[in-house]
Amino acid sequence: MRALDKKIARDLQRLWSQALAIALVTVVGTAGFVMSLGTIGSLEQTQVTYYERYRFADAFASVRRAPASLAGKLAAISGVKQVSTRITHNVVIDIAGMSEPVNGLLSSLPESGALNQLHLRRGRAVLPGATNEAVLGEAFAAAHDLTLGSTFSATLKGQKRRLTVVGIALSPEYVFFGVPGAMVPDDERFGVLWMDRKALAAAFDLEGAFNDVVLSLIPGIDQIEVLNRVDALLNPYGGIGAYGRSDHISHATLTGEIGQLRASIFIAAPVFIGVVAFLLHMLMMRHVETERQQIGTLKAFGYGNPAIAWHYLKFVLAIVAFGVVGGLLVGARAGHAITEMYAAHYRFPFLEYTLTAGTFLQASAVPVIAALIGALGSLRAVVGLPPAVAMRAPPPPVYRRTLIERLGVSLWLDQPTRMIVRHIVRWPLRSTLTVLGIAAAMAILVAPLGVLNSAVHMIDTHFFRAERQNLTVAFAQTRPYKAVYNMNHYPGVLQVEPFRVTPAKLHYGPRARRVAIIGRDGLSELSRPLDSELRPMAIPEQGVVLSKAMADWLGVKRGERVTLELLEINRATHELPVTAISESYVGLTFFMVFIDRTLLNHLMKEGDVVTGTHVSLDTTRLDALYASLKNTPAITGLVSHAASLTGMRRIMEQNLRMTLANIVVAAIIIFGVVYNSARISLAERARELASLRLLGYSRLDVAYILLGELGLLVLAALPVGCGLGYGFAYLLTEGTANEMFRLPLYLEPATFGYATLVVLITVAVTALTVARKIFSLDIVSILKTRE
Amino acid sequence: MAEKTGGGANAAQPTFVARALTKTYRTEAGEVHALRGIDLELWPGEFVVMLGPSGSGKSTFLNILGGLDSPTAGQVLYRGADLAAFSERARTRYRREEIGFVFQFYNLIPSLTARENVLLATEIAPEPLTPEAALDLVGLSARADHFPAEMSGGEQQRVAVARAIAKRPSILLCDEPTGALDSNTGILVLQAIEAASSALKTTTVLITHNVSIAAMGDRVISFTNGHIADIRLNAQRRPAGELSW
Repeated sequence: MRALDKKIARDLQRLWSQALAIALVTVVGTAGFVMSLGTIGSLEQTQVTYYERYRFADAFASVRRAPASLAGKLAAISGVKQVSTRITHNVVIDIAGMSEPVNGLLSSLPESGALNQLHLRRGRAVLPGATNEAVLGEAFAAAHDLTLGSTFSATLKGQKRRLTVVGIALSPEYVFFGVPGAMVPDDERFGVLWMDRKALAAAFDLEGAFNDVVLSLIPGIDQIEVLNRVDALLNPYGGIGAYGRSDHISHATLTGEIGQLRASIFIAAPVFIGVVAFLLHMLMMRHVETERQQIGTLKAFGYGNPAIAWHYLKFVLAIVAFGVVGGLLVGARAGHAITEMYAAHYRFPFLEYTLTAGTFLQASAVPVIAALIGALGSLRAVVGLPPAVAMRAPPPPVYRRTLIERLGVSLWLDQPTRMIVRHIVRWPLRSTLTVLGIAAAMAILVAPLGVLNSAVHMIDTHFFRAERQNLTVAFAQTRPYKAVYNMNHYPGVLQVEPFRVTPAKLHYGPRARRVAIIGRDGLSELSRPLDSELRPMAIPEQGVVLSKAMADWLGVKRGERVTLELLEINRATHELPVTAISESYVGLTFFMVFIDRTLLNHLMKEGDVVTGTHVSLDTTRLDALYASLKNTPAITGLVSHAASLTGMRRIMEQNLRMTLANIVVAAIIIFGVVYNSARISLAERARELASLRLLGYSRLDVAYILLGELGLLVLAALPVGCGLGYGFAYLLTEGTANEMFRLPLYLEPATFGYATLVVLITVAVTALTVARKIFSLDIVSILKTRE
Repeated sequence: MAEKTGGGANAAQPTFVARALTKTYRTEAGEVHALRGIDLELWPGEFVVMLGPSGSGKSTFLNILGGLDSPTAGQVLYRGADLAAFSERARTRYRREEIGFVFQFYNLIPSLTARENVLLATEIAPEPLTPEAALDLVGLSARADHFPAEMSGGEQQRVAVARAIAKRPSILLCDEPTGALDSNTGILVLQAIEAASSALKTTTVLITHNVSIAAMGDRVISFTNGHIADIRLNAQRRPAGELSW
């Protein structure tokens, strides 16, 4: 080893604690990038491969009943590559041992070569013509311990049928299956299953017909144009509007998740580069300053500037290299763990965390960039130092009176406090960066907690203010109002509110959106839209109420008129005024249109009909109610709000675990910033502090000067960190937002308090570590050496 | 063996009594005997100059007197009290109230002006001089509002002297106070020390390599290899202003 390289090794040994603190921050950052980049890469790669291999469709449309011959016409639309028709229906599933009915989405098994192929995990496809065989979605089967040969009941168009599981499968269409925006699937209460097409055609009177179609498109084609032409063909048969992948729940949810991962990287990378660069800059400036004379000597010996600069750059790179290697190891482990978490949420036939060389290079480029930025100042200092000057002691730093003092206002401060204030003002950049470093770490804590707060707030608003029913019961088809009275006779039912839903397309100027329009009666007790103050709103007798997201999307204001195209009946169009705007929350109430039920029935040219009811219950009689409902063929869907709430709570817990990881990350960054600032301050000011000890100041007095300065900087960092955290939380929620889902930002004051507490505890622990160094200052040797 | 003596001595009780004072440092190279049994008394108001080559033990002795270091064996009594028995708190108090230190390097706080540097000492002392009076004693009243970076080395050292004496210490310990200064500037600093010590009647110990300075003391104690080699009385102290080297 060359002598200079030995010097690097020994310098690292001497400065081990500061180097370690920086290396730890590097580990954390690199690990984060390795984990996130690897996960994004794995998810995207898997998504693309899965879609391609199993022919995931580009466009989707439902229709009431279209003749099989229409498929040829659909295929003939220019831009359409392939058309697959099918039969799908919502069914209620009865599983032995579970009182609650389960919602099933039943589809005809895709024929070979058709779009949306299944990936069969176990067993086989249903035999042609078999009426009592089913292939189950893997998640659903696993949630209920159903295996090959298990049986369960499903109600198909009023007929209860006993089905045997012959296969377990995955579909690219249901990578995520659940309520849009719910973020986690509810595999216990929502399941997908497939049966033989002929059997379904017979059960649903769809022989020689289909009620659902999926299409693949030629890449680069104008999708909207194709969708319009699909609609034109399907409309006469009760088409309710074709839509593309961006409105497909599974696809949109998965893409949104990848988007959020990406957003968090875009936030984290600059923060991380900034913090590491700053820490290295501080360490190196000090290091170079103490080695002035050595640098002068090296130059005098004939070492050139590049050789000396390279020597110090190697020192920096050595520190970062430790961090990169550690980060790679930690990140790969974390990547596996998080990918497993995704694999549990999203159903892929294969999802493995793979760390490619590219990912690794990208992830390590970030700390290396940070190192180069951090080294820049010290390298310039090294290069710019003439040897003759280097051999002399550096001039003492020049201090000035602070601005306030110069304005003639005397600072009523004792001398130690004055030293603190002047030192902060003397090094404004360093002080500012220290503040920013601590604030950034704090923001890393605040942001995910803020997202969590927002989710809780959203749930609270959704379930306790807007959707207060215990159960939503959907009927298989429109029923006379009498059905509402009938509901009252079910066991445990306390209150019943009817609604009528129908698919519609809302037009305003050039914009149009497919939406389920909800008809309700006046002011509801259970399910109701909320105004911007989150107060319940009555549905006016005239016009429509739009959710804010819907109104914004269309660009329509209150009082303006929109065109309502009713898709279920001959596409009748009506011009209606927008009479109110409601607050929109979650995918569940994101794009919403409310209308008076009587008005809707009138527009639909029907009598007093409903399509479902919201119900409040005596929950102690839930089992009895479920038992009755299971035997009610007219019911096609049941949403238990308690179950939805449980699902939401589960997300919270998962997020909480992520928060623990964030605490560790933030604590390491805070420790790195505070420890390095303090140690460098201590090194620079050892002489001052020793002088004070000599004058008779106690160890605590002396510690006060150094730690008091840190304390002031930390105090300044707290509000900055809160603000920065709020900003990061905003970016995160915006990064997640998509066509189907937006989380309204809401931060609990407690979140700021909690983050403050973590910062203060970390700072206190760090301060104690540094205080030990201050306490053991060797006064004599410091004061008797020349600086 | 030291006797009870000394020009400025006023008889009653010695300020310091050192008995069989030994200091051994353990280093990687083995044991270093910095002091090998020192017996000495220092008297109130006395001005002692200590001479000796590097490593002769004089600085170690000074640090022990100042409460910065403690002996391996033997004892030092300050007005009858054993310094070694002082707690950390008592030592801090001792330095705060009794001791004024001046080192070769000025060790001023760069972020504080001359006056504020002196205030550092006066703010925590029970009966201090005003900073103005202390700066006046060293002839620097005019520079009170300057920062260290705005002053020459000699001026900075005089601020250090002012800071050391502003608390009205009973002991003034100076370790090579002129070591970093040229002759003219050094003499200004010595004059400041001389003026301050006589004004405050401190027991003053001044360590130097410079034999010319010995003439300004009441007693001159020479150290060699951890021992006191020689103690000499000056019949007549020479004012610092008459020295030259």
